[in-house]
Amino acid sequence: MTIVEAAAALRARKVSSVELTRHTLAAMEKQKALNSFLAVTAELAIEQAKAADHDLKDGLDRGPLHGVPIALKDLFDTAGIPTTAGSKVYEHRVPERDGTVTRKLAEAGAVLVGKTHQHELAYGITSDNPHFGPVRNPWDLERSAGGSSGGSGAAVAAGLVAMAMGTDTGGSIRIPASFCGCVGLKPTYGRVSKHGVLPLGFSLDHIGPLAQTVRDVAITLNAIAGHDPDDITSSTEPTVDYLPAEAPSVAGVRIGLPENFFFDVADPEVVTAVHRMAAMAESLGAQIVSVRVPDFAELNAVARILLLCEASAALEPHLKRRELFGKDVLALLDQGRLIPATDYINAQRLRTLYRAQFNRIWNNADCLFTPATPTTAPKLGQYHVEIGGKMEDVRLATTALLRGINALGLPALSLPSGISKTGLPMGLQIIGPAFAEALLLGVGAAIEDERGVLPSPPVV
Amino acid sequence: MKNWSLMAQAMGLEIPADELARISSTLDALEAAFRPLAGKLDPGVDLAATFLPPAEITQ
Repeated sequence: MTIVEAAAALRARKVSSVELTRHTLAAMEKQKALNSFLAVTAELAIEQAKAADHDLKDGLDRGPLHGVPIALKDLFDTAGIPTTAGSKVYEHRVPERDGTVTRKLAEAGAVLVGKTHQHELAYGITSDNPHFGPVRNPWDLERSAGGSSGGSGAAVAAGLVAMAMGTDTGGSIRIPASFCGCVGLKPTYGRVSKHGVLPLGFSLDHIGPLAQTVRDVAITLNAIAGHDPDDITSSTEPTVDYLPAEAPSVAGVRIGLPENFFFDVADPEVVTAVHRMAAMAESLGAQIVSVRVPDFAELNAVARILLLCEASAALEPHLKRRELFGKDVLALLDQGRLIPATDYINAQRLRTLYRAQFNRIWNNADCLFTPATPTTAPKLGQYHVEIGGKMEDVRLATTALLRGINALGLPALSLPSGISKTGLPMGLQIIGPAFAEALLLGVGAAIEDERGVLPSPPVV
Repeated sequence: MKNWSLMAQAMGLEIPADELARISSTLDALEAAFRPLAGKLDPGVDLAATFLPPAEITQ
């Protein structure tokens, strides 16, 4: 059930929040094979659901999330509930206070049913966690759910919860959305508070929702966006109503299709699906324009320097205890420690240049359509993937179309573009100018309405 | 290419040799991609992340 459907059912008294929550908890228990949750907060959830029902009965309506079961990635601070980042480093960490997003969702009446599983410390794209096992993809249990917000993607795609929060430092919301067949939004840097979310890359971390539909993502953004004095990087840019109209129009919207990089190293079926989405938008009145983008491979190199250094700085206090880390994360942390400070500073200077170059795109296009990931979900334990007859490193290929956007701080929406011949979801990425979330969500909703409902994963 | 082993030693980093060997090729590739970009930077280009004047900091 989507947030929109649940909200309607709750107000029509067809179901209570307690019933919805019990049903959700039972479904989570039934789908344990997905390994999408690190912690289940059943007691708290029932308590919150009872309060939600009570408030609704008394005429206190907190909005569309009121009484709806949701989940948080295990990076989000929750008072009195372990917040471990899927790691041994923070295994016994129990925050005293809720983070800002946790608090805002509670104030919106959402019911927290659990903390979702993830790649260790959010530092990776497979969610194949050496300490707590892999998150499994509901479309094929032998495949990766993507990461790092893999548990959120799997839980949403399997219909366990209508929405789960994620974080995105180099694609960690958009990758699971693409691999699991749900919608994920990485908002503009500073649009959603990072306060009370464990950091990975201080200048690259973005907070955003994964949900079954674009409108559910928009509803969540309405609840969590806005300035937060507790987050020094939080923007004072005013928020708007992000919920798309019932029949959103894309008439006159200039959709840019990059003529370089984004379609060069991607599975032909994924490329075709993006072009099909662009043609669909065109049939609805959008204008398709060809655009040349700045060198994205260079920007990715810059973004990798930034992340390697920032993540190593964030975890430096724990690096004496190497046994606490999985091999892949430790390798990245060691790399970050070997990069000189001068390179980090020059990467921040290069970022200034690329940001200016990329901003010029918006003179000719309102948003860009690209693949979200160049392939469908790889198998768990798969390190290389064949694209266009060439073997590519799974991690680098999967982040290639995403990572640079984090360095630019721009908003990007990932939504399903179709199902491949092998029966796996493919993802479309819509990138826009800073603070253009409403535009991206409007275009995404129009595409989603026209595309129709996709089949559910076989595990459901 | 840089000698990552010597660098680690000079920085006092305790990274086992086999693990260092495993990451060296990745670092070499990143170095090869990044060095030419850094070399082209004009001195007037400022950092994207800059220190904020105190009045603009709210905490």
